[in-house]
Amino acid sequence: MEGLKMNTNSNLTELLDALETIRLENYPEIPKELLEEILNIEYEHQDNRSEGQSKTLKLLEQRLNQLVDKNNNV
Amino acid sequence: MLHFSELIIENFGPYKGIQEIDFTSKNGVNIIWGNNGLGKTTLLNVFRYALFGRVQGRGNKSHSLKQIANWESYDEGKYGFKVTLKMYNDGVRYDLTRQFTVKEGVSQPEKDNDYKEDIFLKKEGTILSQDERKHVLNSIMPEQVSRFFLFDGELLQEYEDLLSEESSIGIKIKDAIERILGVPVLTNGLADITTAEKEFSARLSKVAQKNNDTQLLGNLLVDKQSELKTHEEELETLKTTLKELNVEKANLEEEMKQTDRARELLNEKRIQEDIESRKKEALSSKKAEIKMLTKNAWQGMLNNRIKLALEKLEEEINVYEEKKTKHAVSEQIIDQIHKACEQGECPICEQEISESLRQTLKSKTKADIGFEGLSDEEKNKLIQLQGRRSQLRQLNVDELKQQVTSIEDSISDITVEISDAEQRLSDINKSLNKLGDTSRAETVSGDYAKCLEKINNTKNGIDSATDIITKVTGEIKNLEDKLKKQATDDELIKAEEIRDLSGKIKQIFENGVDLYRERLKQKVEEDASDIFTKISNQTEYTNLTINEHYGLSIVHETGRIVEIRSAGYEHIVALSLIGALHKNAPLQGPIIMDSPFGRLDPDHKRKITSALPSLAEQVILLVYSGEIDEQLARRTLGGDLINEYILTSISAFNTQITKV
Repeated sequence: MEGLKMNTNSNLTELLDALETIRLENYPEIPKELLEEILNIEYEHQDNRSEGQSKTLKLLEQRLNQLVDKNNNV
Repeated sequence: MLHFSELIIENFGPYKGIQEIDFTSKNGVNIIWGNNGLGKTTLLNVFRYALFGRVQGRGNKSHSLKQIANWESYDEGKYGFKVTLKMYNDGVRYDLTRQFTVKEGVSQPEKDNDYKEDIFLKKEGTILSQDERKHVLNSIMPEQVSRFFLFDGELLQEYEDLLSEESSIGIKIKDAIERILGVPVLTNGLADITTAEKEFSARLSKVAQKNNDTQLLGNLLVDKQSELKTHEEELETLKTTLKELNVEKANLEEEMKQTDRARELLNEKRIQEDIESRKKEALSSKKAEIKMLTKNAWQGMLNNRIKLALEKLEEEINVYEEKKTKHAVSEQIIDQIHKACEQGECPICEQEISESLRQTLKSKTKADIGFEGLSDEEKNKLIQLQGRRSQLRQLNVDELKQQVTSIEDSISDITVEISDAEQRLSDINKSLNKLGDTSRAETVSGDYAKCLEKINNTKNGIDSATDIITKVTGEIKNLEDKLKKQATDDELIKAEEIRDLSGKIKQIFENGVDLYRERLKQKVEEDASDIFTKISNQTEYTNLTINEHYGLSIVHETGRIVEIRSAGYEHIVALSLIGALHKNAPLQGPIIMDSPFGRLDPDHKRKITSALPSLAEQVILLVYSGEIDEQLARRTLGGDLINEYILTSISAFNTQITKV
């Protein structure tokens, strides 16, 4: 739905909740915010898959580079 | 949250002129009362047309739009129709207008092509572009999930198909349910992250190739990734083919249903034609037989004379045979006497025979005793007479009469059977003519069998491709692990870490999808059970249980599943599912129900009416008076009843909508 963000939609929260359960248990090094951002992109672009994919890829590239650099600088 | 505030209809179906329904901005139940044939179901189509640009006839078939225009207006020279739906979505106002108007240059439209369709969507008063409009409408109410918002009481059977794994409709509805519950957000995410992971994997290989120490591994990785990509593309093609085949299968199933009657008749026709043909053959054969037999019928005229001749012959034969027999017997006796004379003893009593008696016996047996045998002439005569007797016996006409009578009886029976078969064939042909072109009936089951075979082959192909992909993915993982151990280059290490992290995110989404589905099903089951127990009168039915495809079964207090349920309980389960889906869906909006009460008894109707406000925040109910009791509905709903309208017939093609 246009304009909806994670913190105003309880169903998206449930989607994130499922991911968060897996993340906390097995992959705590992956930031929660990254998963939230991916979900938002996918939610916004359900009817435009190519745009959704392109944005997800760009986001991952950016965030994962930042994350690796951050981890290596620590 | 989507909320419909106003509906403006112009010359659509029986709604002549411009007519409006104000749903207001309040949440609650709106009831539109209308008896049969006044346009309740058309109202469902008004919403359908506004949102999706199509209308639906009975049995889920699409209608031509030209047929929708109001007839009286058409006769008055006012062509086409228009619908405006005003709504709010999360506080944002939208006005959606869809109209079907006559093209320029057309004076009197005859077909769909004589019209053009225009669509306008305003957001807070500003008209959106075509792309923006499509995006908004698809977000607000995707057509795939419309069945959960525009609820047609006649299509409840579809929900029973959820219980069947192989049902095409069941698969469609399951996909629609997952769509409304937001599952595609996760599955799309998983698909995109998988693509990203592959991209990072490819980059890793390229970086490995640049380094001398890891060049070989890099090359191997590139090859394997290319191989994987080929197999994945093949798998995607097969999956697309399977989807198309499933659609084809559903269409063929529908065609088979529609041509069932024709196929039955054609089969019956083949059987009767076969019977007719065999009976005619049998009739020919019997007629030929009777002809053969009656060739000798003239002998009937000589019957008495043949009898007399036979009697005379028997007498003559008896004379010779008697003489022959007497001679044979006396020869035997003489032979016995000669033996006794030789042995000096009677062969019977074993008494000694004296010499004088022997002499006496010898002399007597030499004398002419009068039992001579037949002379040669007599023997020949006897043979002749016996031959003649045999010939005359073959001319037994009594026997011939019996045979002819029996065959004539058979001919009668067969003639009746042929008549019956011809009559049945005539009836069948009349029925077939009424059905029109039945050529498809013959070919559709063959096509269906071929389609099933293709589906089976495609599924096997998918299994094979999946196995190969698993194998190659494993090989890639091994190579990447080796690469990890050998990596010393900073760029390579970074590429590996990025690829690793993307793999972990992919795992989170993969497991997350399964977890979300599980939780969803649990919630839908709980919420549906909750609604069900409120609506159902049967206290022994304690809850509903959900299957893989979101099909709901009733559970008895003993724990047993209620396998067979009535049409009434089908209604109740379907309504429970819809209520549960609305409660759990990211897409929140009104439910419009056309005759949802079906065959329910008054008590269940009252309970469902009472549960309506809990199914969705805005409910629009299309019912005829008598389907539910008006006063009871008002009392039951109380403050939740926001609005009432009534459909009044002005003429057969003119219905007016009036506020109560």
